[in-house]
Amino acid sequence: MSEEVKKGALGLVQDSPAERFFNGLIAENPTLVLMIGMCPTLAVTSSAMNGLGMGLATTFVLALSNAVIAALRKIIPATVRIPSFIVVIASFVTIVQLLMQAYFPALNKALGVYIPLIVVNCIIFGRAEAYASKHGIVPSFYDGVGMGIGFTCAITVIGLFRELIGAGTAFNIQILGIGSVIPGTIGAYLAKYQPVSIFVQQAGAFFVLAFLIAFMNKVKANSAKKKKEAK
Amino acid sequence: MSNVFHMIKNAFILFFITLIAGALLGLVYQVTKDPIAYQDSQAQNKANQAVFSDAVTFNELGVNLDAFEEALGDKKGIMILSVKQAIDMNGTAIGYVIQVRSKGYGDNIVFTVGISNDSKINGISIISIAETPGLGMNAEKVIVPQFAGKNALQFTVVKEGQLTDSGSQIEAISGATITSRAITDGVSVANAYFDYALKGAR
Repeated sequence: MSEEVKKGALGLVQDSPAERFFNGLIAENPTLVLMIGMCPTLAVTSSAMNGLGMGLATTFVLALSNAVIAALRKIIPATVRIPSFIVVIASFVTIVQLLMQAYFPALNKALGVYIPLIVVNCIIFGRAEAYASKHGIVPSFYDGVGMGIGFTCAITVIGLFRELIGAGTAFNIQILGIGSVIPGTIGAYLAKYQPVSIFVQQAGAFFVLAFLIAFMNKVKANSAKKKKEAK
Repeated sequence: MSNVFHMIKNAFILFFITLIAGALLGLVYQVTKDPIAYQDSQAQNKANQAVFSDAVTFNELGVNLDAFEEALGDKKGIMILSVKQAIDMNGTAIGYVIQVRSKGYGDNIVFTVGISNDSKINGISIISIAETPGLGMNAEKVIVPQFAGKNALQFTVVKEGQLTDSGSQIEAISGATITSRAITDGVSVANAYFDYALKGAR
């Protein structure tokens, strides 16, 4: 008796932890492929550090709310599933906020205003509706982790580019412009850089996002082409 | 009949989910209440200490609203949140710490202003700020150091590189005039409040 194994992202077994992880990270990256969760993507990516913090907070909420919703999927009636999801998600967000205020004041200072936005982040709600409410606890948890890490990577990279071009810094370390940490003649040359402030403002987020999506599509198109040629 | 039954059943399930969520939140709130209060007081102390490094205790004084109105004049969006007297280790009062909230470009900017008994600005320290990164967020680097040691009554903002009177003028952050003005006006109001309400009261 041979049971056919369903293949998911990257040829891995469908719904296995690794498949879910890479699905969220690459194949269905929420920011660059599914294009959901655009509001936080545009709002918080003015620096790499903000992107990283927001991404990790979102990942935490996403993984746990996915697991809880998957656990309750047989109890929650279809007609009241939306309010139920919102209650679960909002509870986790509030817990994260209280914990951050109590134990990570520096992170809270940087992200405080964005944390309540996680409640209405459509990545979390979208995954609850599209995946967690139809699958088991373990794959749902890994789906949340994968999607969260995918989101984190995407917004950290966007933040890094915006910060570097717009303010000359990377993770708050001055690389370009006056006061560059790089010594010698290269440093003196880099110090001449004039930051392009529009990149740290909202419009800059669109520019960087557009370039990243174009790059991602190019990579995908190339790999698809190679596959075709190999056949 | 079964329709009504289903509706009630679903409502009860939703009710139980919210009930459990509420209980959980209450628990987390209880656990984190004390650490949060501690962090807040810690941040407050740090801001006080930053403007008066010699002081060991800070005595809370009330805000005199009449004097505040007087000090505010025609400036907008500024509020004095608290006034504290700074006392050094010998027990002598060395000055006042005034906490100010001022409307910036993005959000309210909250900071403390330390004013010594001889009307000199001892320093300012920002508690919370959410301005544009790369522009207004440079306030900490550009604006804050300019105040220390100045003793003018009112401060004005001038464009970068156009300083003519270093005693009362503050060079703006280029590209962030609103942020620069918000902080400078806040300091001016704190200074005027000191002049009206605190200077004679020693």
